[in-house]
Amino acid sequence: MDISDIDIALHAPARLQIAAVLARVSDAEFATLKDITGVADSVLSKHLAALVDAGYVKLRKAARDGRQRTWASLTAKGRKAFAAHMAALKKLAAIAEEAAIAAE
Amino acid sequence: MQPSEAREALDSIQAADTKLAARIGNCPPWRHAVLGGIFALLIGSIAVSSTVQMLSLPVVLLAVFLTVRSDRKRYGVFVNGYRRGATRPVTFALVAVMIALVLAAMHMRNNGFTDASKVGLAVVAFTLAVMFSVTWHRVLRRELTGA
Repeated sequence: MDISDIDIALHAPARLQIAAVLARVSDAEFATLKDITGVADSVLSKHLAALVDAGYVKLRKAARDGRQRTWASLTAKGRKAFAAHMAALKKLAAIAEEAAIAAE
Repeated sequence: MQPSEAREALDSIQAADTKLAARIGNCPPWRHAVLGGIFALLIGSIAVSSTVQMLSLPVVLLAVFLTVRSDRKRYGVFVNGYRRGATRPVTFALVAVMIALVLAAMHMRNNGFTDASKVGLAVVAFTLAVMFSVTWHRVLRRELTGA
């Protein structure tokens, strides 16, 4: 793992949060992701579409209370990409902390 | 990406984890009791007879299905008990204990143990399942909040 594992597909803050939530659970409803990320429906849809295009997320529809709900889950590729991205972020953040300490 | 951006990204992930913990970290007591009930029925039915075990299986499966459906409706997420992370050892410990209880139930069935002892085993299964469920949620909450 190194900082070259920073993944452009996961760079956008909302997209990263979506991946983070999905990494912790089996799947999550659209409304839940919207609540946690705080973005509008259209923005969330765009981010999910981007993650689907990257092969990181899959979507499915399920009926609840007479309405179709969208559920999202990370693919195996997505979980691996998120884990690598997290490791790279931590490494980069550690570099920043070391630099800050050295500068003092 | 600049190192400072990496720190901000990690903070945003923690913020999402904290919100997720607020949503799913507090499991109502009845939910723990439902899991306990499922295991009590499973173990108790094995201890009674193979016929009762076969008749109970669809009830157990239906209870699991309804519990999963209820979780999805209540939380807007589903968290698999076997998920990777700090909770996995808790799950494996529960599985190990339940295997031991299954073996004990089969021993009781095959060796003419009293009804009272079989009920006692079911109560033990209920209690242990509830304890594991509470522990599992506590570990999940701690994992998400970083506490």
